Amino acid sequence: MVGKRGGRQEMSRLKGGELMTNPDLVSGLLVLGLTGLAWQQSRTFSYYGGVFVDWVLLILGGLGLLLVIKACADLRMGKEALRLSLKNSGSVMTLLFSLVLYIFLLPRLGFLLSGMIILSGISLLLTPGKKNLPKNWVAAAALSLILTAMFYFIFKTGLSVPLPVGTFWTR
Amino acid sequence: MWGNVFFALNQIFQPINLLLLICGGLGGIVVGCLPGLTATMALALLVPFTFTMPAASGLIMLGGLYVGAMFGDAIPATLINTPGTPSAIATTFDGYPLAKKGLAQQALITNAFSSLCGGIIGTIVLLTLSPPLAEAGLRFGPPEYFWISVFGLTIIGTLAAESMLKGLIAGALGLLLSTVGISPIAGDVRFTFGLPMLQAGLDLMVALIGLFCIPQILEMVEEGAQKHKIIKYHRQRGVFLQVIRELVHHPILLLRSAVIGIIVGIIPGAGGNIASLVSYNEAVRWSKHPEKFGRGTLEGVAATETANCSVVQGSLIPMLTLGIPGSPAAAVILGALLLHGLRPGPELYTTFAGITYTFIFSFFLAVLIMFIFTALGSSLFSRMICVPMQYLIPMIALLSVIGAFAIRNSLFDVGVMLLLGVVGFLFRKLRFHSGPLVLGLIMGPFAEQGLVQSLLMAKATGSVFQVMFARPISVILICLSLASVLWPIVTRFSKSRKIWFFKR
Amino acid sequence: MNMHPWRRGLKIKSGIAILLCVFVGITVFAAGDYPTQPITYIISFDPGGQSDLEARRQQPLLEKKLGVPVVITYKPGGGGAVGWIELANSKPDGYTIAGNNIPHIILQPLQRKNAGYTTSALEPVALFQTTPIGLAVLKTSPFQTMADFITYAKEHPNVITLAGSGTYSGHHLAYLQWEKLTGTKVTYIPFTGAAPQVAAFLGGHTTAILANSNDLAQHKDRIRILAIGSEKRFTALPDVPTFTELGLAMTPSIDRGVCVPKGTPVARIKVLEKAFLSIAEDPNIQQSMIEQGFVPVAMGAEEFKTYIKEKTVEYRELLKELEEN
Repeated sequence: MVGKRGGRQEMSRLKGGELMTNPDLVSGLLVLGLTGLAWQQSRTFSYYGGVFVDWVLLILGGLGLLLVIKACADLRMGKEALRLSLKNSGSVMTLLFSLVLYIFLLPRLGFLLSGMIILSGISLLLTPGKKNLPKNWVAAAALSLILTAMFYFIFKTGLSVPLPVGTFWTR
Repeated sequence: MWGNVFFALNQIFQPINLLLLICGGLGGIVVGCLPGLTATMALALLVPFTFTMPAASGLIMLGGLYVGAMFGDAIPATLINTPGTPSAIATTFDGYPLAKKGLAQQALITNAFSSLCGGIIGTIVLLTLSPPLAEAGLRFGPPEYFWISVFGLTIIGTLAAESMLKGLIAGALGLLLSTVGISPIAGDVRFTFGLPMLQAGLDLMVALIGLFCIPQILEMVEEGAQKHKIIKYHRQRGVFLQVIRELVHHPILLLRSAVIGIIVGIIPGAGGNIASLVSYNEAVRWSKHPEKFGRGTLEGVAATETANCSVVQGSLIPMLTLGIPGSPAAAVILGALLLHGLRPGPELYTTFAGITYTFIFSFFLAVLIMFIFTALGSSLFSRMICVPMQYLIPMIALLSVIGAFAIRNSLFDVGVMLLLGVVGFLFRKLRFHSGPLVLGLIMGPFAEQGLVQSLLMAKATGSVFQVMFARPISVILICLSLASVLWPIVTRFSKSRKIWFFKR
Repeated sequence: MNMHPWRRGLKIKSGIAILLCVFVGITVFAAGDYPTQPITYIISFDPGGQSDLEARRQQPLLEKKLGVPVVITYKPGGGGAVGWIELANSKPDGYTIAGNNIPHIILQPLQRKNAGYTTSALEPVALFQTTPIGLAVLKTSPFQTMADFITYAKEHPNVITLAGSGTYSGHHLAYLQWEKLTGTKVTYIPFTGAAPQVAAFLGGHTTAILANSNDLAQHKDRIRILAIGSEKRFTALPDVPTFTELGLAMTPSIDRGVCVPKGTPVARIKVLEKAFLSIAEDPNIQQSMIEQGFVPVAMGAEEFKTYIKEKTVEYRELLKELEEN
């Protein structure tokens, strides 16, 4: 907490699962970075292919700049930095990782099998209390089986939407 | 004319037609409920089934499905903050907060009733005013499309209540993302970084699932099982009448939203997604308590759902009279018409009047039946989210992944969805709103095509000013956009003056 | 008996795995004659469009003739490129087919730096429809004949706006050919599909339109068609002169056919060709195509391949000439 003396706050400080910085500054810089990247890519566009992009990039760049200026002004005035915190980061990361794994497994193991594996995993992860209880395992497996089967039925049979078969099975 | 009306009324109550209507409608609700399945796709799947049926019956079934989807898409929007089809994006703004407050059933009943109103008003207009309205729709050329997109983008003002700057940045980002792929006019390959799959650009539904659904479940996990209260379901008596009584107090809201839906539907290419957003924006603008919107108010849900249902009939107006579909789903129904040997145009209303009137009248019945189903089912649906997290989250995860896959049969899209999900999550952390980004994604193609085509027209006439700023409808749209931008500033100004005045 | 939890889960999983293996095994070993599995029919455009309608017309008959389900999947984007890229990368086992459009599949690889596929990667199977492209103005327009139109275009370069569908598409090509043959300059305004281009034209936002024959036939009461791109007079529009009659050596059209990935066994191509040709020669199908303003065609694989080769040469030369100007 900085007092009204208007001293410069620390730009960033890592503290466990928290990141104390001015998020607006980070966002503004990211926006400017993105604008620059897109601008560089767009140099090869034809006139009609690029005119809209140019205008949008102009607006985006201008707004990004404004955001950076505003963030700096806030820092100067000593406004308290917004906290960027991620609670329970372990679980969140695991959930994300399982979803990425799901995408990886889908073309290899097919819809049914990968669905069952990943969904039981997620369900187990989120079960409160002791995870090693057999009843939790059964509940997780049952849930994933029912869900995958139900969706398989709706999508594949009811709506003829092809689902990944999995190269494992068609080799 | 009356002969046709009686014939139509007789036809729609035939047992086989009723059965097809109900099947189509129920199918539509299921399709609407599942993000990743759109009405357009489901309609395309059903068209071959209609070959063996008489034309009217087939059309009744297709119409029922279209209507059902417009009823069903509000269910996931309310319960899990994920629109079932792009037409329900705006329903998440107030529907989900209502669900969090434990008022999910009220929201769903509002959805049912508003869609009913929208459908009835839309069908009346379809029946009576089609030809002149269709002609009016043709007056919209490329410059008008551009200004409509600009008008649509001013909605950011309403969505980004907290920080206008961040809202505009999100909107601009959405516009930029919409340019990924092959340029619609010049054919340039843009921002694909060598990946041929990106030539198709980012699909809106994939982006919606990614930006709305994934951050939702990540946040739920973050809050943890302890903090995430399972919303207890309370059996409430008389909820049904209570909601309807409240909605009936806002006839202007319902009427205005229905009209907006019809108008947007008539414009070829603009569909439910734009209609519901514009309707929401207008509802906020004209409401006596605009600050209630976004926090869970029935009016918000009513505005969007009325519009998204009347779009169905609106999009059929130019389709039946001119053969120009007002929305992608209408395009599929047009295909069915053609395959049955029917030609859009005056013939439909003279030689084939029986079939046409039957089709139109079936909408009255369709919205009524769908209303009954969704209203009755509301208590069942609202119970679905009262399950513990370890069951809910895997279900939503499966839905997201399969939904994103099913849209274009592409695993790549699932990856894009996940990436956008992380972006959406970061957005929430950095206090950005995903709404304007989605708005930019939707409006981007319209704005770009309108702009570039207008520039080409200007090249021919020699004057950019004349093409972009001097056409009558364009002028009206420009004024509307300016008003839309300046209105919040004016009201804030006058409010602060009033406060100042009272302080004296 | 208290089994270790993970072993119990493992038992269930291995049970399911074995079942699935058996199921797939049966399917694979039972594969005697082709086709035994469902066939995926990729449509590179949006549902409701013309390619979709044709596929839907063919679907029930295909299923009957081939004896397996035919699943239509949509892969729109890139003017069709996305679907064709997908086909080019699919397994050439005859279970994935796609609708292909001339001139799109020829023009896109020629014009785009990284189109993602090559014309030869798509092995043609059969051609079943031709849609001649015509040039039209509104009935309220001052141009009564093609000659008037050309005169005006010569006197006012770039003033005339011509609505078309897509870039590097049949319409774009027709526009380029027309400019070259008449020695005029007009402004081509591409739209993203038939519906938007027709809507813009009917609303008076463009001077003229290059449209498909079915759209022209649909609106013939409101428009005046100056020329049509078929070789002989078009049955649905008997009063309209062809481009060739008017002295312009062009026959612009969009052709629709079906193709498989290169490397598909010839025997399987023959099975598909036979099925598609029998549908194309069905009098009911032909009649309904004609009624809607299309020209039914029944071209087999070899003929189709030659046709593509000829057109490729033609387009390559045309594009080279235009680039030199």
